[in-house]
Amino acid sequence: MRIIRAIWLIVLLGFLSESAQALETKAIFQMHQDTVLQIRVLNRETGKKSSIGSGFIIGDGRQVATNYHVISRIILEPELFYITYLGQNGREGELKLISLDIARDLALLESPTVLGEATKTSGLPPNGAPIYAMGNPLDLGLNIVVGTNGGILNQTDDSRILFSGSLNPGMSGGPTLNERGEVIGINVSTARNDISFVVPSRYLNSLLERAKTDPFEIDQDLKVEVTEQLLKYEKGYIKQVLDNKWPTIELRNLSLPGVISPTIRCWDNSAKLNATALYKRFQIRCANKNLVYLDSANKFVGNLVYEYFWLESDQMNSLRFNNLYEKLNKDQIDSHLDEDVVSNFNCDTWFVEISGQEFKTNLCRREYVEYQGLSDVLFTAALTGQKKQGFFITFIMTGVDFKSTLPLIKRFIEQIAWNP
Amino acid sequence: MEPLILEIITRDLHRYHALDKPEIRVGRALDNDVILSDATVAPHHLIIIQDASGAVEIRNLADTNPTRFEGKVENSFKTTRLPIKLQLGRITARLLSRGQAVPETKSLTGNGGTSHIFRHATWAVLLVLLCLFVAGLEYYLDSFNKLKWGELLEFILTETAARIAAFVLALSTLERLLVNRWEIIPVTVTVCLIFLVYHLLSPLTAELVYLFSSSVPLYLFNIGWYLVFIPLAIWLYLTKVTHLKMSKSILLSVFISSPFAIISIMQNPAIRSLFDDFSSSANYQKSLSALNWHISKTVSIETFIAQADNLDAGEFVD
Repeated sequence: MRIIRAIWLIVLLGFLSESAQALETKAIFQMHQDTVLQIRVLNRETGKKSSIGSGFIIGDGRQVATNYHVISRIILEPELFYITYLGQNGREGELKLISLDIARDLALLESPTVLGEATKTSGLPPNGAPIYAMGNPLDLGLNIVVGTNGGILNQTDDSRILFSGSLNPGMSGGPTLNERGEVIGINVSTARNDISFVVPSRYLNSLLERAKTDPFEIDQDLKVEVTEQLLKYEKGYIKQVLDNKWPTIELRNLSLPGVISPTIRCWDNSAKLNATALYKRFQIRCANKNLVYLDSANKFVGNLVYEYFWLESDQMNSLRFNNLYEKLNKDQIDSHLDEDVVSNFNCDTWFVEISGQEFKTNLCRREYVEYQGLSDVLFTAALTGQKKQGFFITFIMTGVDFKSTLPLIKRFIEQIAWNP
Repeated sequence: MEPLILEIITRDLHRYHALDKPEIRVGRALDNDVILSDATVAPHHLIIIQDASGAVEIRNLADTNPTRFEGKVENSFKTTRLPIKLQLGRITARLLSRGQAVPETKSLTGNGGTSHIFRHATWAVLLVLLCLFVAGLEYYLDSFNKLKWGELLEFILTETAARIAAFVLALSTLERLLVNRWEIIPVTVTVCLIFLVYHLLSPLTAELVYLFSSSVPLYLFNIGWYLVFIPLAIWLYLTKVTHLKMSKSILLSVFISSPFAIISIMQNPAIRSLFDDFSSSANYQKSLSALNWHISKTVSIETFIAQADNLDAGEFVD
């Protein structure tokens, strides 16, 4: 009898707790249904939507926070596009961009009139705590998604919270809320399967402060602002990487820079070889996760990618080995940007002594058409003079100041050690 | 009275008729002295009359496609000066005297040599075998798995032998059309020599690219090969082996080589890069060499970084 009572008690408690959560979600939804807006970028000529996202009222009640990527079309073509909001109650109006944080994918918009009660921001709840994302998925109407807080991700340069809920297109820029209905972050992206990402609210607070002290001027060239912010962020990132102590990884005869920043993850990238192959190859690819959305044409920049490729054979003569070595020495940069977006690459070649070994190195750079001062940098180095061993490095950075990458490249190759 | 010769011009082996009567009739009908079986020639096209003084009179008999004398249409033409060029429909002919000088005899064996490789089947066979060996060697050097003899043989037969055969067939047919002769051996020798020179120059060019750390030798090779070497080789063949006239050889060499030049320009990335203004790829120096000969000095990391600091920005394409 006691056992039956205990089972009933457990079932009842479970039911009650589910009811409490459902009520809480509903309350949060009701609390914010008038503060969460649909953000739309419209074409002045056609009057139709070019992109949509979400936003929410913040600051003094006239300001609206959203993602930079939601409104980025106006950066390249401000004369053609403009931003509007659409409220749950059908109210709509034009907004102007007053500040942005490109590195964290945030934008602050402003209405000429008060739009409603501003939301309050808060710090991050403990890991595992329930959090709620609101927004307008797929232009279908306001919705709320329940998930849990997965904490700050250091591989994204602390600019992302892991949200175990399902964010969908159109929810970008909407608020992520704690159980008290306070904004703890801004919806930003998803990796599908309930893996989503949120920008911590502290960056929004900084943006609000910046908008007060340094608001945009009416005719300010936003591309210059975007470039300056990006360069500042990337310079800071490179400095941060240089300030780190670099662990090494061993690959056959070499000690190599390993995970040089918490933002970087390294993976074995070795291809499966044919059983009759007369050689061995080992490949390690390291790449960062803190990419920055630039615009719809350029997509993401801020890549820091380096790849190691070791090749050896004791069954091939030197001519045959060199043919293979040369064939595998490929261009690893895989962006297919066109001439409206970037310049041609300019490359030069050096033979450089690294750890007592000679390497044939190439350094290439290309520039961004719309963002003066922004470059993509490609560095490669191939071991020479070995008859049956080959090794090459590819090192790529995108959307950076060219000169600021050179100290990083210098330290990178200085850290390579050849162990005979 | 010196007998005349009527030369009927064809693609190569012209026909010659000795005119041993004072009056010679020329036309398509079978009662003529010289019969020309061409639909554009009239049944009785012209009469050639030679008088005792040596003067020649030619009378046109054709209403359709009347005879042209030195390019002009006339009913009658009289002259004592030979040769005379005649046009009978689409047939071109010349009236010559017996004393007309003929060009110098071209030696089958070149300039007095006895081992002219273009005329001996042994050379052709040896060169074909050498080509197959070179192709097999190249396959071996470019294979990075355990060698399978069946695959090697298949490659040699389907890639090299078939290609050489296709070129020989195409060029021999072309030569048959040009000079009415099948010239399999000289064409085979020529195709093999071109194949071998290409496979000699290709690795040499790759070494030069590495030596100078520059793609210029590759561009020069690609342009020079299709735009200079191939037309030159064909021109040499046509003048020295086929013995065509200079002007005809030049025109034909350009005509024959131009499809290869166009295809190579369209397909070759090195050549295309000269015409394409923009590339999203970084065309850096990827060449590596087993010899590792290079004229650039090996520098320290500090020097490299100092020089890299001056690397110019990429060029924008308008």
